[in-house]
Amino acid sequence: MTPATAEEEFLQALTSVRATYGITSIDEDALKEIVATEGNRVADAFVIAELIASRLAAQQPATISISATPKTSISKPPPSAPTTFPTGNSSSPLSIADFIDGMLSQEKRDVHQPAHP
Amino acid sequence: MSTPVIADKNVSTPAAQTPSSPVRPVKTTSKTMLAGFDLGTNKSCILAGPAGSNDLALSKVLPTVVGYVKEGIVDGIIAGNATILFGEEALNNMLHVDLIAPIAEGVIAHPAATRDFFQRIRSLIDPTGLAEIRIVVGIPANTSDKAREDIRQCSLGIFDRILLVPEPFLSALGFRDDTRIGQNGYVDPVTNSLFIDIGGGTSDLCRVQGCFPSREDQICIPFAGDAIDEILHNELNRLYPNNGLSRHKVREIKEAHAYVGPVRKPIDVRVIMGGKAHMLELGEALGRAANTLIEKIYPALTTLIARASSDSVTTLLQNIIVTGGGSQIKGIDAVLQKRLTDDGFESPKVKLAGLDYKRYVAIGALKAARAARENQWQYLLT
Ligand SMILES: Nc1ncnc2c1ncn2[C@@H]1O[C@H](COP(=O)(O)OP(=O)(O)OP(=O)(O)O)[C@@H](O)[C@H]1O
Repeated sequence: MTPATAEEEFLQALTSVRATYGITSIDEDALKEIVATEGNRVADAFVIAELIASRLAAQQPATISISATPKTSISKPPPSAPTTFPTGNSSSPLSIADFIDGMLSQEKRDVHQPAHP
Repeated sequence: MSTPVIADKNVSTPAAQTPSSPVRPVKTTSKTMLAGFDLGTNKSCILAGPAGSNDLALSKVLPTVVGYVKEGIVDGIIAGNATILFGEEALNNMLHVDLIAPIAEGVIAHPAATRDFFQRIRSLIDPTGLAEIRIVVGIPANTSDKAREDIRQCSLGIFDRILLVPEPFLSALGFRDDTRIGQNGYVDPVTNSLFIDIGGGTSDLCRVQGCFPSREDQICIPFAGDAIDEILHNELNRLYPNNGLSRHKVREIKEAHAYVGPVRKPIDVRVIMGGKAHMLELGEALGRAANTLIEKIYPALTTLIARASSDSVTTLLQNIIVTGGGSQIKGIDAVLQKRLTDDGFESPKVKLAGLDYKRYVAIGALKAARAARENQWQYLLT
């Protein structure tokens, strides 16, 4: 059967090595450590790619289209204002700083008008 | 800026213990570091980089746990004869330390251990101890004022400026692909989505619709992975009395096999009980425990959908994203989607954030830290 995911492929390879060379041929702890280390390496690469992609997009938003991971897309008209990587003075309608303003004024309101339990 | 003074009352490390990272000297700071911090019940993630640049100096996931080395441990057993260990190191030396989980159900349960954990985070961000640290911390949706204040109190004298932002909103920011905003066919999750973040202590649901989510847009349920562990553990104790399985082991079993939806049988799990290997058939027990989560979060999900405006709800239904460790439970997306469909909701689509769920909150937090205006940062004052 063809493995559906990388994880299944890995498990199949592991099963076949163990079937051929014996159950103790691969040390469980060493294996766990390798999997954890590699997992972290991939995750770090992902974070770096995510942040670098944003930076490149901020420099050339019109021409560059880089995505660290293939993310979901849904058919809907695009927002009119192209957004670049957020900076402290961004004024796009969906700038993160505006969201934070919204959050802070909400907190102030809650102080005056204590919220639900 | 003023250098906050550490209030002694907040530094109550357990007797005979001294914090491993010393209290900082008065700063002659020139450098500012920005950090995004997902302070999780089980795992925390920290990302940091210098202000004014997009460089990433630190990216680390570590278990949210502090280990205080027991008295009388012989020199050399613990590397560097440290008195406090953190994260994996604490877990690896479980026998030699008193393990404390600083956070429970998403809020600070042990202030002293939390401060030590924060000190550790600080020293990872800035080993020199001289930089100004501005940190955005992810907190569960609708966290009480008291719980927020606890985080601020524990941060006094460790971080310099802080912003507390709800985790599901940070997940949306982290999940947002900045390079695709404005492209045809890409819906910015920040414009219209519903995030379901299933963590260890809490499940947080949040509608994000183009402005900062109000309290009505967020629901926090104190039922998540840890509660599933408890149900499964009780079930195992009922089925196999005196099994001697630790909560840690039960969690491992859950993480390897948990599923939701119709019963899957058999699920044979090999465990060591009393030194001997046993095969346990746990299909039903695992399903029962994990399906409880669906019963808890589904009503909250439909409540948030019902509160959406008629203009936005169709797109919202297409953009339901499950994240957090609980998103790894097999079948969770399909079961939620089917349930919504069966209940007549219009073409719902439930998606998983993916394996990088651990870092989305911290990525969102770092993006927020980089975007925050000077006047938005809050000072930590005694
Ligand atoms: N493969 C898996 N299957 C089932 N549950 C899993 C899996 N992987 C992780 N979990 C569970 O997810 C939970 C941890 O999730 P996460 O790391 O998002 O939470 P946290 O940030 O530590 O906690 P919180 O968000 O409540 O503060 C734990 O209960 C863990 O056992």
